[in-house]
Amino acid sequence: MSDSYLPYAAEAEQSLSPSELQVLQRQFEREGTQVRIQTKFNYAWGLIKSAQKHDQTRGVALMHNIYEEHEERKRECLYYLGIGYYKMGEYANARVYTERLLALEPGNKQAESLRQLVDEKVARDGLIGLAMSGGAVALLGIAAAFMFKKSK
Amino acid sequence: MRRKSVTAGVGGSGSNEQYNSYDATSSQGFLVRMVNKILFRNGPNSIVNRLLRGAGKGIDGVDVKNRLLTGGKDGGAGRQSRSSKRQSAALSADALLSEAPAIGTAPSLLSGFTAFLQTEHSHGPRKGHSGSPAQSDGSPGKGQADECDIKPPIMSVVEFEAMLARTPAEMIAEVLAERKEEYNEYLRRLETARRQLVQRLKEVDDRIMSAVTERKEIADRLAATEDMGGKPKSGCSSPDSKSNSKSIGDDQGNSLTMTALVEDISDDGDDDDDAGVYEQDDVPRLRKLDHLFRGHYGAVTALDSDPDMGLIASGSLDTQVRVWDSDTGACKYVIRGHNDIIRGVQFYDRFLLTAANDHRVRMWDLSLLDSVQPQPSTMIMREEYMPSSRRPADESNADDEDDNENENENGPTMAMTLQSTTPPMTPTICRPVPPLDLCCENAFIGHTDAVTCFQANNGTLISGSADKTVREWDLTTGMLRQTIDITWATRDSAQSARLGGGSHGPPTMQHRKPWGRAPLSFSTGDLSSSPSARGTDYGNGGFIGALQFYDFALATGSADGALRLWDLRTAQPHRQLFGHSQPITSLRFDDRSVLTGSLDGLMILWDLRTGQALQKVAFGGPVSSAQLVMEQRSSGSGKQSKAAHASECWVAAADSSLHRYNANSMQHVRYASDYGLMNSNQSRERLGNVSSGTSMVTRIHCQDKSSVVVSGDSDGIVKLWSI
Repeated sequence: MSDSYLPYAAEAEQSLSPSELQVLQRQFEREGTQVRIQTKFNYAWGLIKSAQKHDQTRGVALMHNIYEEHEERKRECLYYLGIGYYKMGEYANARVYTERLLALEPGNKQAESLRQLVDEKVARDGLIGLAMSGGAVALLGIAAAFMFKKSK
Repeated sequence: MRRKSVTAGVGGSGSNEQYNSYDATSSQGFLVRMVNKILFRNGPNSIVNRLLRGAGKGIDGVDVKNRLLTGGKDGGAGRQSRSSKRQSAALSADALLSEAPAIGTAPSLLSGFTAFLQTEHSHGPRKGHSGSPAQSDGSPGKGQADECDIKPPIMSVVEFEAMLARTPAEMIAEVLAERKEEYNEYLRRLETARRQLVQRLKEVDDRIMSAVTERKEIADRLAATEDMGGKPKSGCSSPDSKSNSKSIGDDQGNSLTMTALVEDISDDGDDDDDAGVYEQDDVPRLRKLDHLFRGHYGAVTALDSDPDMGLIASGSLDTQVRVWDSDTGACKYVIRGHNDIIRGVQFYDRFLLTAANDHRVRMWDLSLLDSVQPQPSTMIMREEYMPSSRRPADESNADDEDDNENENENGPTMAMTLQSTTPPMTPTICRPVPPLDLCCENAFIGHTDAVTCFQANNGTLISGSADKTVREWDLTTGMLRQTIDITWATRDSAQSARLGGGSHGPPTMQHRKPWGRAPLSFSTGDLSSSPSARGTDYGNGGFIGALQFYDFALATGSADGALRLWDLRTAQPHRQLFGHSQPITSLRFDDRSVLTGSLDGLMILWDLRTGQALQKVAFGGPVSSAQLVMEQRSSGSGKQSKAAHASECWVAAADSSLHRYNANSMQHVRYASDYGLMNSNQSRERLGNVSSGTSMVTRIHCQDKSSVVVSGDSDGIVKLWSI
């Protein structure tokens, strides 16, 4: 496994320029039904990298396609699917794929780092959720206290 | 409890299970996890996110619990199904996951992507220059690293020295390391590009294979529809032909036969009788044409069939030997190992023996051919749609006598064959090493001139050639057993039915009447250079036009029209029978009689014991092929044991019909070879396109025991008829 085998998740944050994405898209469409794996992957990865939600969704769908169709690419696709879901915010799925990849290749650094990222994100969201629910409970308490006072 | 309710209400609980199977040592606390489960079960559609997002839009009044369960109002079902579909996809992939193989040596997808990016960037400024947006599309190969873009970091020696001189001492190592790194980078990119190209090649190959398979299926379907279209038409063929066909099915005695005026010349030694002239019937009989084998572009000069394997071999003027499958009608192999016209083919065991005017008899191992040929399920396009493709054999001239090249050639990289007899269409895609030449089991080399006829039987091969010798070979070892020099042997032959007094001259006597009844006394200058030693242009006749042997009895027909019977043990002819005035082209014997056909248009049936000509039948043209129908096939050459000796024979006589002659009844029936009952109207059109209408039947071969006749004509078409 060379270094360039899997990209770090940070790379997914850099999106392509629209013209580049368009090139990829045209290439993908031009190949029609006989589309090659590389073209499909290029396009899917370009989509995932972009900041727009619908692009990411489309990219993930394409990745799923590659995953299902090509046996030999399944492992790579696991990682990219993980990244895709991570970017989309669906941490549950992201975690699913990342963990599967780690189960197959425990030493994979990129997968490790992706998992950590997902965990962090989830934790952060969780904390936010905690805070919010705490705040909501507090608000409810205050409101209840108000009403009691009023009714008194 | 809450946990349970959440899990219970979830459709597609896979994700929850994942959560439950969390690593217990995760950094998140229990509470956080709980919150996650409740609030973030559906990712972006979770409560919190929607709240955060929908702050500007306001919160809808859907039941919170509902939202918990379904994760959102609008399209909740949709989103649910989508996420559950993904989960189910993830689940189903779970089963496959265990098979997710490790990454092979293929370049990673990412490397292709980065390569694409690099080319994009390198093309970017160019795009700015030209200003045309179309350039960004480029060729379909744009997405891959353009190998011409990979430039090696070349620096001339002078520059290098100068650079070295410039840098301070302590930096030299760094500079060198930099250079090295550049080169390594370059090499890596080259390697990536190379691997990608290889992969693309493979993908293109796969596409071609699938396209060709598709094409073959369509062709099969087309052929099937043609066949089916033919059958109803045969029902409406002319009543004339129908009655004829029925009559053909009956015994030959019944139907309208032609009356042939044939003279029965038994006990009459005079050979100068005018042979009977047959009279034509009005309507030539029609036969049932089973298959039409097209592929030769020269006249057919040799035919043989192997009924056990269902194979028919044909050799032709175009130096090809083709093996056809008599069940499917497709050409199985093409043997191009000869440089000159084929004079004879014969199936022997699992071998196919072929003789040609290039002085060689070659033995091909057909079972090897199968292993060398790719199986029909994989297809390749070759020239002429033949299953094998070979370069013209240069090695046939370089063969040694005991050549045993049993190479199992691994099939070509694209292993596909198209079994079809349609005319050649497409050029070859690739030309691998010729496999078929290497299947030549043996090449019998020894003749110094064209081999005009041969027969293999019981481990022995006897071949006659234009170099005036008959050679006997051992089939298993390929060694030459003996050579019979015809001129020497006949020089002082005492038995000659026609010799007057004292015409035993030395072989060099100038008898300028080669067609006379003298013994073979051609001066070497006379015949060896003349084409008649080799036979006619159609591969008929020759110095030894035909031979057949059984054990140690050999019968040869030669260019002086004499039929000679030899004893192989002594290599002397013990009998010479004269009856023909022109070279003998074909010969067959059985227990009691010998049938000879010659260029003078006569077919003579001799009695073996007495040497008398029993019957003479005249045909309209030179007889190029005459075959006795054997009723039994023993391990020998087809002699019968007790049954009446073969009485039927098939003759090809330079016209477009097959002649069938019954010696007992002296009936001569002509069958037109232009029509076939099977697909009558269609075949007429089809044949009309192919056969010029003037194609002569050049060879006939009848399979023993089965009522099947194979005929080849001067257009190169081989027809399989059933009686």
